[in-house]
Amino acid sequence: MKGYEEPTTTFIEILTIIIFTLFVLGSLLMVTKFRTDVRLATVKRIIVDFGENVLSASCLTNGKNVLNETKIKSEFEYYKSNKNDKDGFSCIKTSIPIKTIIKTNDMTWEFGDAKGESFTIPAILLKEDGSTIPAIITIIAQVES
Amino acid sequence: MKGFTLTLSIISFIATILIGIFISFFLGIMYSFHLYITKTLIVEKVYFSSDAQDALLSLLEMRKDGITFKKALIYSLYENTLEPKIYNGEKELVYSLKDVAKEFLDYIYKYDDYWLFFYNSSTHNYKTILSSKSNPEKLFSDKKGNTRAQVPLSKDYYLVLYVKER
Repeated sequence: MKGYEEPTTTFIEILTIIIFTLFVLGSLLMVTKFRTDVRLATVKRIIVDFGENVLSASCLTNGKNVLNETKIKSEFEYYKSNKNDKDGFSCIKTSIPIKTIIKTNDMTWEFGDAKGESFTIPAILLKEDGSTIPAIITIIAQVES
Repeated sequence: MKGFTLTLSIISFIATILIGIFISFFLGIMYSFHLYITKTLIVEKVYFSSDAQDALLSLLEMRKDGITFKKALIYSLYENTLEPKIYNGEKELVYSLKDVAKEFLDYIYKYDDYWLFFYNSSTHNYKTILSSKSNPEKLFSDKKGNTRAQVPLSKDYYLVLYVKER
């Protein structure tokens, strides 16, 4: 029995060290994953906040939720001559690339260039003839992780 | 002495496993709690509710013959009809709340179900303006997946929009 105890003790200690190392590595992986997900949640918040800014931007709307066709056309001209603007709008400034798509039944405008998570917002578009039509704004943000 | 060392090894082994399980459990709770916060607060509370709220606020600004939906709502309440008669400065028009709401909601919620209605919170009565399906009470009785937005029209009286993903 005495000759049997020493190798068993050594074996259990080695097993303890291996399991301890596995737990430490596993914990580090979970913490890293947690931090990554927190960052992704931030992207969603950025998109939502940017969308709300678009909905009340003075260069695009007449008031909250009412997009103005004339202003959008003017902003589109601005974007065509300022392709380096990260969001494509003269009255909004962002530090990350954001793409905005304004879509109605028969028209679509695209501002900025980005690939990533997207978010859609309902709005209406006040046309140049004074009538209104429903519109959907899609915001796409590109955030380096 | 060697038996004592073996016992200590076994105890340290068990302790390592127990502490490891505790740490994993704690991190698991933190991770799930974080997902719960992200899903509940950011996705459901911010994303979906802001979507329905923006839809309702946009609908209020929809115009037909120069008359906004919100103005027509006031006439509708006063005349107690969903097709109020409104004078637009030139002639008297019949404004159909249902037609204007349909034009907007059918486009915005092509792939979702919706229910737009007046609600009286003191009598708990409601009056449907428009819904995507014929029996909205049954459809929206299951609150899971429902998103609600409302605007007050007068004391105890609201315009309410329910949206549910198909």
